[in-house]
This record gives sequence, structure tokens and C-alpha cells, in this order.
Amino acid sequence: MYDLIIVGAGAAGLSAGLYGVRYKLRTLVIGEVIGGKGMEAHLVENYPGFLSISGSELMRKFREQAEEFGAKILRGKVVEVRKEKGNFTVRTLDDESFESKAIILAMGSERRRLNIPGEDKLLGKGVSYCATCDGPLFKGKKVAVIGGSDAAVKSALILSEHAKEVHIIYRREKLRAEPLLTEKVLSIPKVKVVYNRVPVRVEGKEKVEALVLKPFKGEGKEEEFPVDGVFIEIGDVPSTSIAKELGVKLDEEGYVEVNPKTMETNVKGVYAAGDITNVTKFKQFITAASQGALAAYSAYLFLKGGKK
Amino acid sequence: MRKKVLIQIITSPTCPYCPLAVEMAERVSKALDVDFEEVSVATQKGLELARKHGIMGVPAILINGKLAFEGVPPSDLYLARAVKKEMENV
Repeated sequence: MYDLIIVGAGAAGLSAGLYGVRYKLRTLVIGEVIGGKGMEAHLVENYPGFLSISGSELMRKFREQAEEFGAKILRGKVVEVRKEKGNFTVRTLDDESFESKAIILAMGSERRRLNIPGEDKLLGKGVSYCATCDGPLFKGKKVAVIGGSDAAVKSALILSEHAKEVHIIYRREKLRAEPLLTEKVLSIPKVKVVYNRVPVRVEGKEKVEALVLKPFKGEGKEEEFPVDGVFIEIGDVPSTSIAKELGVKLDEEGYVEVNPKTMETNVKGVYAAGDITNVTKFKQFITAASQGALAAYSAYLFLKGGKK
Repeated sequence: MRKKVLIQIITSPTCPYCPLAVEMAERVSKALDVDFEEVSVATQKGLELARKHGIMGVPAILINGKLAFEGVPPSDLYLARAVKKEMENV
């Protein structure tokens, strides 16, 4: 029996793991990807203490520090968390079960999909959600990035190292990424921005051949835009299926509702941290890590019988 | 007799999920006593393999030259099952 099981092993989960063991809790962190979505970050230049570090390296350091102090970190896909007689049972896809007295939900978020025809069919055939991963496969090709946020612009920057042409397709009139990033991407001749357009479908038989676009505002015909790759960067949705089944309350946008002072949810003994919560729209390594620390502290107070 | 099965993991140098697939292949190949190799798309061999199989996302896993997984398999069991199936065919 563990004192604390943390579901999710990204910045929030690993930080909670570190704080859990620092409070002498028997702590298990289970996650599908150790390091979580932070692994995809090309360069992190806003995590204090590191001038510039890759997401995977930063997450490796998080993991090493938590393990150094005694957290057990396990790779696995959690399919269910059940509450029985005050304790929790966590079950994985491989049918392993673990028990604990408290839970921290830190499953983060998953990529928001466009939900347009062709997107699913051509996933892995030119449609991608990870420029860091798949960029090198598009050497000399023409690619599109859908979105106008930091993530979209960062993807365009990565892709410009490999592709022949990079087209950012954005529905608004101006990119909304950090000014520094925007300036950088707009200075690269092979990167072009197509404003006021949204994708309607992805076309291709065996692989992506074109995107079909239409104006976001105003009237206008659909037009075909030939590309070899489509990178979708339109934000994230919280991964809350386990939380829902456990009876955890979500807000109207689907994020886990927590008390921001304690990170506790409506279910006694269940806390949440990181991108999955409704605390802030500002999804950063540092905000996830701080929520993880706070959730672990609250779980500790709960377990020792103090105030939650 | 040792069954001749080769697991090939197609990776890219910057792919954060690729090491997970490589580690998994390492464990499974050891447990089932089969061979495995990592082939990066940054090499000519990797790029050719990717093109031949129409791979446009990494990691991808080939078992005896057949595309078995695109992305990291959900767990070791899934990869082991696919390898065992191939072992029956050789």
C-alpha cells in the first residue's frame, strides 16, 4: 500500500513525486510517458535556473531528482482509479494494480484535434501533432502548421530547419505567439503566414496531398492548398476520462475543478495538479511544477490527519 | 532453435518518444531472444526504410520488415504479442 499515487508523470506529476517523498510519503508516480508532454518542448528558456534546456533534458532532471529521494516511477497507462473503503486502487492497461491512501491526478492534456475529414485517416501519413518528432521526415517538403499560438510558431521554427516551405495557417489577422517568437519566425524567408483561413479537410489517398481551406471571416470559396505535411497546433484538451469515472467534478470547459489554495478536488483524498486543472490558462512547466508541489503538500496534511 | 526475428525501431534524433520505443524493444527482444536495431531517419538507411514503408511519423516499428506499429505501443505486452505472432510464421 502506497501513501500517495500520482497518475501522470509530466512536470506536475514528477514535482508532486519529489515533494511526496520529501514528506516521507511512500510515493508512486505512474505515467504513460515519463516526462509527459514537456518532452516535446524543443527549447525551454523560461524555467528558472536553466538559461536554455530541452524539454526532455529538463524532465530527465525532474525524474532523477524525484527518484534520488525515493519516489518510485513507473511507466504504464492507468485505465482506472477506484475508491473503495477510503482507499484507492489504480489499475493499468497491463492489469497491474496498486493501492494508496491518496491520489494526485496529473494526467495533463492531449492535443486538440481539428475534427475535419482526412485528419484521422492520414495521421502518421503526413498529419502530425509533433513537429519535434516528425520534422526530419519532411526534409525538402512543403508543410503547413495550423494555429497561431506559441506552440504553432515554435513548430514552424523547428520545421523550417527541415522543410522547403512552411506555411502557417491561422484564422485571425495576427499571430498571437510571444512577440519574440513571432518576430523570429516572420524573419525566415521560407516561412509564410496565411491569415484568415481555416482548414476544412485534409486530402490524400495514401498520404497527405493537400489541405482545403476556406476564409474564417467573410464570404469566399474553398481553395485547395497543396502540401506534403500538416502539423496541427491548435491547443490542448484536458485528459480527464479517469477523473470523470472517479466522480471528480469538472468545470464547463472540462478541466478538473480544484481549490487553488490546496489543489483538492470534490472527492476526499483526491488532488489534481498541472494542465488538467482549472487553476490557470497559463500552462507552463513552472505552473505545473508549483501545482504538483502544492498538491503533494496538501495530500501530506490530509494523510497525517491535519487540515486538508 | 532460435527464431530469426528482427525488430527495427525507426527514430529521429529529436523525437522525445523514440527512446521509449527503443527501451521497450530492448526489453522485449531480450525476453524473447530476438534481435533489434534502432534506425534513425537522419541516416540514409533510415530515410530509405521510412520512404519504403510510407512512414511519416516516428517512432515506427517494423518486425521482419513489416510495419507493425506507428507510435509507441501501449505496453511491452503489445509489442511482445506482435513479435510472437511473427515467430510463429518463421
